[in-house]
Amino acid sequence: MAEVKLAARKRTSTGKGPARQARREGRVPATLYGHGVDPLSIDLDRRDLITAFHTDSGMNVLLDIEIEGGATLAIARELQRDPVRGTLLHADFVAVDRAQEIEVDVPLHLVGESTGVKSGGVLEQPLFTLHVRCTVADVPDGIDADISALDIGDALRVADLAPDATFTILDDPDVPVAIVAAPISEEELEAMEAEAGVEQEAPEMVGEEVEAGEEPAEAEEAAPPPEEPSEEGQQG
Amino acid sequence: MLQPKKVKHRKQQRGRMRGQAKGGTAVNYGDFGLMAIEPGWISNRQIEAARIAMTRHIRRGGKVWINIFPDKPVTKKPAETRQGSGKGNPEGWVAVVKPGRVMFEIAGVPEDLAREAIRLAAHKLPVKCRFVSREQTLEVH
Repeated sequence: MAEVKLAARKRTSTGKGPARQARREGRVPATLYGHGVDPLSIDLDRRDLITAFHTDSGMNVLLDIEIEGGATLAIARELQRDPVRGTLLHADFVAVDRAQEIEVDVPLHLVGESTGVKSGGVLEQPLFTLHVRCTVADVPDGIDADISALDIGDALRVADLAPDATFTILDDPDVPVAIVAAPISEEELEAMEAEAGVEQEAPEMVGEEVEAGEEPAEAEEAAPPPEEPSEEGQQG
Repeated sequence: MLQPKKVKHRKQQRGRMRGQAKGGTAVNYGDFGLMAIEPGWISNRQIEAARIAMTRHIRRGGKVWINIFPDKPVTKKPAETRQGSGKGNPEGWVAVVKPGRVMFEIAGVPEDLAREAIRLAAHKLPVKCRFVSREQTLEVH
């Protein structure tokens, strides 16, 4: 697990105004809490923080955050990003101890090319991360799953992954991590396209409007538009 | 075509589409996705047209997910009708989409094929869109 040193400074003012000001200055507002640390509002240099997340450990990188002389070991728990631009808006850090057990999400990498895919099957990956429990020092960078033996119709489940003494996988053992499905047939494809243009009936009404609203509303539709000619006459 | 099975009210007010998407901003199921970068109403016909464009292009390989659902009824007054006399009749269903929303996802195909399928789908939609990959929607910069 990679370890990166980061310099941070305490934030004295809070709220969206000072947070936006910090972002304009190229800093990221953040908060640090957990493991014997009083919750602390901090900010960090954006470039340094993003560089820290680009090691092999990704989001699970161990951060040595220096705040006013003292250093705290932490990992990122949550990153808030702009949904369109992807810019980092805020970070949550949890202070940890090296020997402490934590639960983290670790990326799952599918390794090899399955025989099913070679013969025309479609590879589906329902799970992209695994929830594991391990000590801070033993957080794996990623977990590899060998899919080369999978044929069409086969699935690789959490229970099939190679066990490792350093961490425990907390996900349900029956959950599939990779499935090689048969490709849809030409007939199924045509049927899907044919059903696309079919108009459906109006949805069923539930709740209050069934008694009070539906009947009059339909009656209103059928009736001719009331009093329009007279309105026209009045307006000239 | 997609539409609700049951509704509580036949007609809804139009509402506003301020701000950005609060959820559904990452590619969660597939490898690539189509993200809206402006707000808009996507009708069930447009969703269907986009889906067909994608599935036709990728043919038998791959899988497509639709992450939006048209649950909002839209009404329309008949042509050549004067104003007044109440709200028009329900004419269709739309999904409200805000910037950042990943509307479609695709998996099991190489990037160039996915990119072309998503380009074709984007042409069926009334909002500006962007091709995004799973990593792109998770990474920070």
